[in-house]
This record gives sequence, structure tokens and C-alpha cells, in this order.
Amino acid sequence: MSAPVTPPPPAAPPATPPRDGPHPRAPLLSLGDLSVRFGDRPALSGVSLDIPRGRVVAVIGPSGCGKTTLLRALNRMNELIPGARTSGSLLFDGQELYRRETDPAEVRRRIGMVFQEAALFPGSVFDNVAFGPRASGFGGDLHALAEEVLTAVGLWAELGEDLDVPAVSLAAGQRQQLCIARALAVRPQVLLLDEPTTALDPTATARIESLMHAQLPHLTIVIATNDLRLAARASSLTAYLDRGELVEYGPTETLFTNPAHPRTESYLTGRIP
Amino acid sequence: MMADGSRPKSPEPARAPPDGPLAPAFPGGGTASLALSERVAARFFQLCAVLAALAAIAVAATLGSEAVLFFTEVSPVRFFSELAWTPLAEEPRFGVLPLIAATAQITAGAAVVAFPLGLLTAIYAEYYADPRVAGLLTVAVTVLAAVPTVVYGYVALNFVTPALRNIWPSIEAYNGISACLVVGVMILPTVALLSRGALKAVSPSLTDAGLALGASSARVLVRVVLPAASRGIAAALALALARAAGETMIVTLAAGNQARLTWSPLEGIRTLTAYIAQASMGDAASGTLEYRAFFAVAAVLFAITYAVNALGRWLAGGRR
Amino acid sequence: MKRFRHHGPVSAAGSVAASVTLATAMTLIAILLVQARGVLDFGFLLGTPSRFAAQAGIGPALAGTLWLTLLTAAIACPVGVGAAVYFEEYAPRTRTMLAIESAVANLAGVPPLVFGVAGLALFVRGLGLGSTVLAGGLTLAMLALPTVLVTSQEAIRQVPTGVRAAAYALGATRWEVIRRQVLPAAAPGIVTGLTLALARTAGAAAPLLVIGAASFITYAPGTPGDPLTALPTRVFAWSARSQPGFTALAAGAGVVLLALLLVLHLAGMALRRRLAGAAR
Repeated sequence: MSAPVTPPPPAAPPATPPRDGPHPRAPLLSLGDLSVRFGDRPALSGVSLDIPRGRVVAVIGPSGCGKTTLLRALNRMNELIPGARTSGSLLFDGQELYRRETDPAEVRRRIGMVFQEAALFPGSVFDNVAFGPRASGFGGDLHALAEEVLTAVGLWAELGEDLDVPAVSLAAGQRQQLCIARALAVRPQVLLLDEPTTALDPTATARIESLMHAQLPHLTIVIATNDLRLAARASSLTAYLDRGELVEYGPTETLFTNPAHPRTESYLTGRIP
Repeated sequence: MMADGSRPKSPEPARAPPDGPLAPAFPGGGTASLALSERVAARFFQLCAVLAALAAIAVAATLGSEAVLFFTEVSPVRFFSELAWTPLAEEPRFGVLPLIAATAQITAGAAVVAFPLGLLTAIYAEYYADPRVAGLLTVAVTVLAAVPTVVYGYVALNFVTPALRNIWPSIEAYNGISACLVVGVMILPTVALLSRGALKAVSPSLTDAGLALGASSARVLVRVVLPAASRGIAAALALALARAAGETMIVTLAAGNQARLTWSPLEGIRTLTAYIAQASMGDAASGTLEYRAFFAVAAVLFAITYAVNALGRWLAGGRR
Repeated sequence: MKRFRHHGPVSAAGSVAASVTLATAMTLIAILLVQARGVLDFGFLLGTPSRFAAQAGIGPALAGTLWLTLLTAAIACPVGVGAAVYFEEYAPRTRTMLAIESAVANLAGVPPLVFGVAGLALFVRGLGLGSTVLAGGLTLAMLALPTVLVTSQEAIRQVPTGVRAAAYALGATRWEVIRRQVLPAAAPGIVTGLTLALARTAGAAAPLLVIGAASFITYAPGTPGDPLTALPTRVFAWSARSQPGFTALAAGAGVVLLALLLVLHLAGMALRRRLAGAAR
């Protein structure tokens, strides 16, 4: 197995200014032999990989391969599913997230998530954006924060700067933009996008994709997607997952043009193995 | 594969993990899952669940314990095989069968009234009536559901029985048929509302598919809609049966209090519920056999209605 | 809703059944109103029971039913809704927990009378409360509890799981998810269930008869420790007497009871509409 599993260090140091955490080039998230079972059904088997800070990492693979489970494992969302069991380690800035005394709510404030279905909260656009910051004890100006995150996702101007629009009146693409804005309002360091464009038409997909290209500062993105072209365009690193196992992980260009593993190749070329 | 242990490592090792859990994401924003409000809320909801469970246990245990005491004096074999219920006689006999037979008569009679009427009303409102008529039917069914059973009993005794006397002059002042008719009307809303819910749950694409094949609407109803909704309708009927079996005020007022085995709907009978209501009003002292007898009868009624209700909930697929 | 055109046997049978249903409801209301006319006045509403039909009133019974409904609501609503939240949002999905849950839920179909029998042993005799308003309130609360629980669970289950997941993913704690998302979204459905349960208990006569609601209380209960009297048992007592004057009284009390339940329903509907508007 000669899979190029080590992503090359970023060509240039990330734009992120050095913070008082670990070394800026240390991985932001580090998965060690991470496994998830639902009852007696294994969903993720011994996945180990590093996610460098400030990058977009794509997770691809056939339906049911464990993409969603992997993403949900990164912010402890799996434990909301009855019967889910997680083992292995997950380091975030060098800190183990799967400790008993670690508050999962705090984990999710640092590692946000957006789902395939844009589940809007009842109420206005503002209500949707304000929910997360309020729950986290944010004490600042919620309107300024809402304006900032809605501008970041390109909704601010579109809504005519009106935050009182009922959220349900938005179009499908706008709803997903709002979900991303809502997640950004908690100021996460990592954003997990679980097939954010699967339910959208091409125009709306393009809107979401442009957000990923916008290189939101300080943000590391992990996106699970079935859309190979989206993964190829938007990510710098790609992981190929099959039947709960990590088959290959490396720079997106290498993985797509010169996959090291035959299983990766047959998936990318659409051949049934 | 990554299984060979060569897991990707960045060139620089991470700083030694600091001990302790994550600090709050926002300085001073201490709304962690472990906060006081969080624990108080969890405790409160748990307490509520415990209280609800205790209430259920208390009901079952009270009936059960008195019934067990009753059965230490009267053998269950006698209870379920003797044909006379005369608890106050010189030599009391505790044969529950006449009471069960009366309850069965009332329940069956009510079903004969309510099942076709309720189901057809639901079908008509759901598939045929124009919106205004459907709305009117909903109001009518809601009114029937809102009328207290004691008011139904009043109507049965004072209006239905006199009206029936015009048909059968020999009818007794207290009789089964008047109670059957009125209990039937009382459970009609249960049948109509719940089975309409079951019909609503049938996907319109299913009926469209049937109609697209050129079938008549009646045929689509009988062959497609009713089979698809059958579990929900069966659940509605089961729940309605449980309500009829447990109905007290109508039978106490209209069906009378004579514990006897009879096939005639024109004679007075005594159901399980009517006996309990009548016996409890007699102010029996705790610990007497008479007092325990009506707990034993209540336990039988509890067991029957609980089982029928559980069947209904199972049919309705109560759980996810 | 209207999908099929009128023809064929099913349509014909359906229209007959619908007509019978409609006619029954109208006849019932007509009987009550015709019988009760001439009885309903302030003297009747505020007066006390009497051996003379012309002087009798429902004052104490009306006050008793208001007391009972208040007590039932105060006990069954928080406990029932709280237990529903526990079972839906907190409880581990183990077999034992599901068994407990369905054991309680199945009580919703047990006849009110049986709760009266249990209440007699538990509250009237066991706790020595006697036939008081408090014993009645506790008994009716036990009766209402399973219905409140089942309907609240149903309403909470209607809240999309995606909303919960999204709220948790934003770093909300369980209580915040419940307080800010689940309960507001489920509130209209919960209110419907509460209305249903309270109407069912307010109209129940059988359990109150069993625990000894006296039919001849001549003063209105002022505290929960006062002797138990209520409208449904008043209707029963008058219905059982065949003298013509009392038949009219029974109808009058029945109309007042029905009107009370109607007010309860309308209040529930208004509250539901407000909550649904707030949650949109």
C-alpha cells in the first residue's frame, strides 16, 4: 500500500495569524483509529487522518459508505443517535474531544455543521441566525453579527437588508445559505458540510460552492459530497471512503488524476468493482 | 489502505494536550451542558416521568391488590363460571358472567350502530362531500364528541326509551337496546375521527393510480383505499370498542341494574360498569367482601379495556 | 379532500350515513335546548339544589366543576407534558423504557370509572382525604395524565428531527433545544391535547360518583378540602328522578356543562392559533 496518505504541507503558511494554540502547521483535527458502530452495525472502521487548518477537505464515496457518520463523528453528533458507539481518538488543536468531561455543546460551538436538508427554525431570518449565539452565551450585538454572517454568505443584499423576513419564505438555495450563515454565527473554527448541495438545483449549488471558494478566513471546511466535480473544484484534500473504511486520502488533484488505490479508481471512473 | 498504521502526521508534533475539558467558546458565556439550569430541567422532566409511571403503577396495584384479596375468598373458577351475581344475598354468589355478557351486549350493539355510520361518514367527508358539507360534518362529529356521557344517559333514559316504546310496547323502563343505540352514538365520533385520519394518511398518488387505470371511484375505495387504511381503521374500531365497554353513565341510567343473563335487548341488564357505579354509591366499608368485589370487577374491566387499547395502539403503529 | 364524483353505492351509503350523523347531532342539541328552556336563568346558575324543582340551582356544582378543572389542569398539565418531554427527548431508547412508556400510554383507553375506583382506594380512603374536592381533583388528574402524555408525545414527535439536529449542531444544549425549538414548535399540538384531556375530565361523572360526589351539597366549595360536588354528577342525580320538573333541570345542567366544555374548546383553539402564529 503506497497510498500518499500524508498531505503536503501548505505551499504558503495559512493566512491565519498564529494563535496562542499549537503550531499553526499542526493539524487542526486529528483522527486516530476512529470507529463508530450503530448497535452491532459498524458504520466507520478505524479511520485515521489529519485535517490541516484553513483548508477545504472533501469526503467522497458511494452512498452509505460512512461519509455522514464521519462528519458527525467530528463534532459528536453521533451520540444523539440511540445505540451509537464511538471509539478511537479525535484531537482538536491537540485536545481530545471524546473525553467524558468534555461538553459536546462546546465541541459543536467550535465545530459547526450544516446538513443536506436545510432545516429552518420557525420564525424570521434573524431568529435563525440568533439562535446559536444566544445558546452560546454571546453577549455582543446580535444585529451586527447577523449582518456580518449574512453578508459573508451573500444573503444580506439579497434580502434587502431585512432580517425580519420569515425564514420559510426563502428559496431552496437561500435556505441552505441561511443554514451556513446560522452556523457561522457561532464563529466555529471548523465547518462540516454534509452533502449541502444534494437537494439543490445547479444554480443554488453554484451559490454554495462560491462560498467555499471565498476562503472564509480562519475557517476549516470538511465537506461530504456525492458531487465529484464539486469535490474536485472546491477542495484541496480529498478522502475516499468505502464501506466505512478510509481507502485513500491525499491532495485532491493527485487523488482524482492518479489514484493510488484501485478501489478509488474504479469509483472515480464509475466502474462497478 | 490506511490500516498499516502509517497514519498521516504533520511534520511538527502537536503541543502536548492540555488537561481538562474545553473552555467555553465565548469568554464568560458559561452556558455549558453541565450548567445548573440544564441539570434542573433534566431532573424536572425525569421527575414528571417518574410521577406518571407511579400514577400508572398505583392504579394497577390498587385494583390488583384488592382483587387478589377478593380471590382469596372467592375462587377465580367460581368467579368466572357461576351464572349469578348476587353479592348482597344471604348466600352471596359472585359469578361475573352475567355482567360480562351485558357489557358484551352493549358493546356489540354499539358497534353495530357506530361502525358503519362512523366509517361511512368518514369516507363521505373525506372523498365525496364538498368542503362546506365536510366542514359541517366535522362540527357535528365534534359536538357529538363533546357531549358528556351523563348527558347521553339522560337522553337515553328520557327520550330514546320512550320513543322505542312506540315500536315495542313491552319494552322495560330500563333496557339494553336504548343503551346500545346511545352508546353507539357516543362512540361514533371516535370511529369517524380516527378512521378519517387513517383515510387521510393514504397517499393521493395511490388513488390517482387506481383512477388512472379506469376503475370507478367505488372500486378504488374498496380495493385500494380501504386495504391501505385497514390498520388505521382497525385501530379506530378497537379504541371505540374499549370506550363502549367502559361506558358507565349511559348504561347506569338507561340499561338498569339487574344482573341477569338474557338475550332480549328489551329487558334491563347490568354491565360491569353499572355494577361498579351502583356498588360504590352504596358506601361499602373498606375490607368487606362487597367492597373487594367491585375492585375485582374493576380489575376485570381494566384488563379488558387495557388489552383492547393496547391492541389498538399496536395496530395504529403507535411507536416510531 | 373532495376527490371523487358522486355516483355509485359507496357515495349513496356515505351520504345516508352522513345525514344520519348530522341529524343525530342536531336532534341531540335540540332536545337539550327545548328541555332546558325556562330553566336557564341566573337563579338556576347561582342557586342551590332543592327538593323543589322550581327553586333548584347548580351554584355549588358549577363551582365544584371549576375547582376540579383547575386542580386537574394544575397537576396533569405540567406532569403530563414534562413526562412527554422526558420520554421523547431524554429517555434512553431501551426496551424497559419503551415498556414503561407504553404501559402509561395504554392507560389513556382505560375507562374513567376505573380511575374512580383507584381514586377511592388511594385518595378517599388511603390518604384519608374523604370525598373532597381535593380527592376529586387528584383522581381526575390521574385520569387526564395518560391523555396529556400521549397527545404531547405525539406533538413533540411532529417536530422535524432536522430542527433538533441543526440546533444541537449550533452548540445548543439539550434544555435550550427543548426550550427554544421543540416546545414552541410542539405547543399548538400540546394545547390541543390539554384541551381534549381537560374536556374529558370536566365532563366525567362516573369517577366522581365512585369517590362519593354528594348530590345534595347546598354550599359552594371554597377550598379543596370542602365536600365534593360537580356538574356531571348533578346531571346524573336529576336525570335519575322521573318527575317532570327534574327532567328539565337535568337538561339545564347538561346545557351549562356543554357550554362550559365549548368555552374550554374555544379557549384552546384561540390559544392554539396564537401559538401556531408565534411559531411560524
